[in-house]
Amino acid sequence: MSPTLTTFLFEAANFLVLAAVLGWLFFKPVRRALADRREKFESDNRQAAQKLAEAEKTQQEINETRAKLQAELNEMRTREMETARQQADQILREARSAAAREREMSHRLAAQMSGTQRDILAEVSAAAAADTVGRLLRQIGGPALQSALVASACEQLRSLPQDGVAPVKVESSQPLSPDQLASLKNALGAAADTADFRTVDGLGDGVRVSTGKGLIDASVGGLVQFASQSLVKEMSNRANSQQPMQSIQDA
Amino acid sequence: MNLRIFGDPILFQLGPIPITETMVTSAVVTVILLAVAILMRSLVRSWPQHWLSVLAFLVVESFDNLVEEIVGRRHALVATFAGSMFLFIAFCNIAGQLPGVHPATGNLATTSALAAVVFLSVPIAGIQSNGLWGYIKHYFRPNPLLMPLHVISELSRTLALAVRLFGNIMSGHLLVGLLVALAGFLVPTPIMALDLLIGLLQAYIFSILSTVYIGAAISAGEE
Repeated sequence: MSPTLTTFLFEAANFLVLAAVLGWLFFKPVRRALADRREKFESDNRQAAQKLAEAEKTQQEINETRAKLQAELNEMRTREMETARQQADQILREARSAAAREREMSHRLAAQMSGTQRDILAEVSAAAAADTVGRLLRQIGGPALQSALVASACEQLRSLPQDGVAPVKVESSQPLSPDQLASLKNALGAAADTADFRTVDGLGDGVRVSTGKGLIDASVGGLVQFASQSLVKEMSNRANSQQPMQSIQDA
Repeated sequence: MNLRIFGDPILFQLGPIPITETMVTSAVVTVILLAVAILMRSLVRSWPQHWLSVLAFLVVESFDNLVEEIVGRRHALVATFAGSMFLFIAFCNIAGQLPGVHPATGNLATTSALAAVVFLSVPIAGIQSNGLWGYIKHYFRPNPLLMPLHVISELSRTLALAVRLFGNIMSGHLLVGLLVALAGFLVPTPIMALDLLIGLLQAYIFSILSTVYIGAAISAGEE
């Protein structure tokens, strides 16, 4: 047999056997391993994509929840701010009201203090005026003043209704003259019969007649007291009529 | 260095069958290749990150993609054929770099046998893919008068396959042997590297052309 032909046939058979065995031993397993790896990669990719989708979905849910919570938070914040504003307004109103009350009270206290001071001033002024009037009348004093005061008392007695004048008490600081006494009895009318004439200290000139219809004080002491009371009353009346407007203007 | 252009020494007789040096070299290369393949297979299963596993993945995937580009679809059998052809020729050419080893592909009988296998594989793949008439039909296209030219073309390309591989490997091996004989051991080293590169390139060319021929036969009916 020719060596060349033998080699030719051997080489052909050798390669065919080699290709078959390599296909069975090498190419097929490696190809299967490659396919497995490729399938595993694709499976991993699918799983990764699925997990990514789940993660994105979760992220979206988280974002939605966050947005919802943010909206609720904003709403709560707005509501709380509105409540706080209302409370602040309420507190402010109450504070203003309390301040107004306090101010009113202060004004009243100030007015009261002012009234008290004014009353004191009025009393002092009245006392000073009474003292001045008393001193003046005592300097003027004399029979003429005595007569004028008695005449004044008589005039006032005559103006009283005759019924219910008794009992009558006539007081003077010095004994009355007969004329003066007669004038008084004449002015008293029927009540003169039961009249009690007496002398008291402190009246000064003039007389003081107590009747059932009231007191007629035509003495220097009575005039002084009347002047003092009139001055105090007049000052009080004037203060009471002017003070509210002044308080309003101060406010 | 064992220098020869033609002829193949008979090492021993196995009955009436003479066992030549090329046959022994081919057998040894085949055994080594199978051993490496078995090793790679076990590594692919047990240790996919090992560089040999990665190399195995690379080789198989490269030939699958190559066949897909040429044929137009994935074809495991053609890819296995082309890959086996490349590995066998490449290992034979690499073995030729070893001292005292004559590359099996430096023998015209070996390259002719491989070319003959390709020559026979082409009609087998064509008939398997398109049927007998579907494959034979393409010999009569575009004109039945061109049928002899088709036959001559197939014969000539088969001859070209065999002679191209034989010529390149034999000439490279001869050149390296002459340089070693004339200039010592270190001077031919660049030429040996070039010869190694040419050997791998020729293996790639042979397997590519085989794939192209088989792919053309497979897609002959589709045209």
